[in-house]
Amino acid sequence: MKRIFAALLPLLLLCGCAAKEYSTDFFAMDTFMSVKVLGKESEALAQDCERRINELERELSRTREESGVWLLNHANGKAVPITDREADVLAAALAISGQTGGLYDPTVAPLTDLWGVGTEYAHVPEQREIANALLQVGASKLHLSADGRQVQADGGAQLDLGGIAKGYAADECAAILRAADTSGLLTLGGNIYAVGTNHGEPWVIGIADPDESTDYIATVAVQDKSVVTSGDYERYFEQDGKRYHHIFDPRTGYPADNGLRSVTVIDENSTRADALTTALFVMGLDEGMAFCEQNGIAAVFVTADKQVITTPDVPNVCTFFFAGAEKGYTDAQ
Amino acid sequence: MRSRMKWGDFVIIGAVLLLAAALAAALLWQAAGDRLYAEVWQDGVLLERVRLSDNTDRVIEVDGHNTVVLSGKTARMQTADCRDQVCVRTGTLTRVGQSAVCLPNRVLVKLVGEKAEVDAIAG
Repeated sequence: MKRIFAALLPLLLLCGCAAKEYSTDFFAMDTFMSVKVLGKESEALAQDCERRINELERELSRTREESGVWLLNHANGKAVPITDREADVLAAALAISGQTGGLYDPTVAPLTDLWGVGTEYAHVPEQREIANALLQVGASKLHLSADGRQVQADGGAQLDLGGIAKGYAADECAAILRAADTSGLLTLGGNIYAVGTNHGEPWVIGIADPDESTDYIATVAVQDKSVVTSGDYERYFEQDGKRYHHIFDPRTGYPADNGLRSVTVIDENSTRADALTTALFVMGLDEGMAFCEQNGIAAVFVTADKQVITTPDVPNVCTFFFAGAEKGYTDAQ
Repeated sequence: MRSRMKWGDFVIIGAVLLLAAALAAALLWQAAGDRLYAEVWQDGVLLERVRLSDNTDRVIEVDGHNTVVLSGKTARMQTADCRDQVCVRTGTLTRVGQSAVCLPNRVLVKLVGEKAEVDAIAG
């Protein structure tokens, strides 16, 4: 018997070398997601991730009646109790909102509802309607109690954590894979988390071509980093020959219109990266670059005049490779 | 202790080597595969998986909501009955890993197969 085992051992080892991986694709948080996990427990871990994302969607959704966010938005100014997780996401949202001077704002829902970008009633509202909606916008209208158990909103403010929910979900799933000491690639819409390595190599993530988002104009090779892109090409409508996208400037009530097509942030914290792409897109190139330099943020800006610009911190977190020359882009370093 | 091998040992060693060779061949064949497939999914269910070649020419209707056109080694969402038309605007898919997604109808067409140049696209 011993000999049989001794002879079978190399075969078992050979089978072990055939790397296991498991991928699952699903729809959640209003987008298409794909979770790929490497290693022996890949199937169970991928399902854990999918389950966690669905839980977070229920908990953080603005449209599901059981969510704390929904309760807050229908409380007419009264304080409502929230879970630890809701408090955690809200605290992160308020912190980044403060850091970016309110340019990432978790209260822009009245504006997004008014414009209806991505819905069948998308239209350019009247200035009077925009001014009215703006009265309800502002993260300072939200008050999280010191113990983190209650939240209250002033002046009809509406909370929408949609801007960072995918990032938060990516962070939670990355933690699930790390706890199991394995690697994987989480693609939650345009929000990516590359956990560990791809069989010892960095993961290679493309930065979408704004004119053809299935193709890319640059790549970043990363490990244990999130790569998040926000662009004007994701959700938009056209009226009278002008394009209106879904990233609003909370100062004007209009979609940000400053010559940027997309902003990508590479950061180990996906929640932060998610909110920062939005804020940087609203800031525009010059202000955004200055902000990144001051705060040590790795970001890639793509402009309407086809320049691809990286911040000084990019080489510290990834290997950047420009691949947009054929499509008329310039690597403006 | 006697350590001479018996004929049974040779049978076992031979069998193991054969199995190992078969497994290695299977793995190598898989790695060398440069085949390209288009997959059409609806709400998590794989409806069609079509191998693409230079003369592929096929139209797949998904419940009267979406039309997928496979043409040569490319795929595209030709029509969708939703308002946003994001999947139609996605255009023609030519490379492994690319996908066109219709969120309202939960329909997805994607190219799978040969090794992709990037692992994912942020955007």
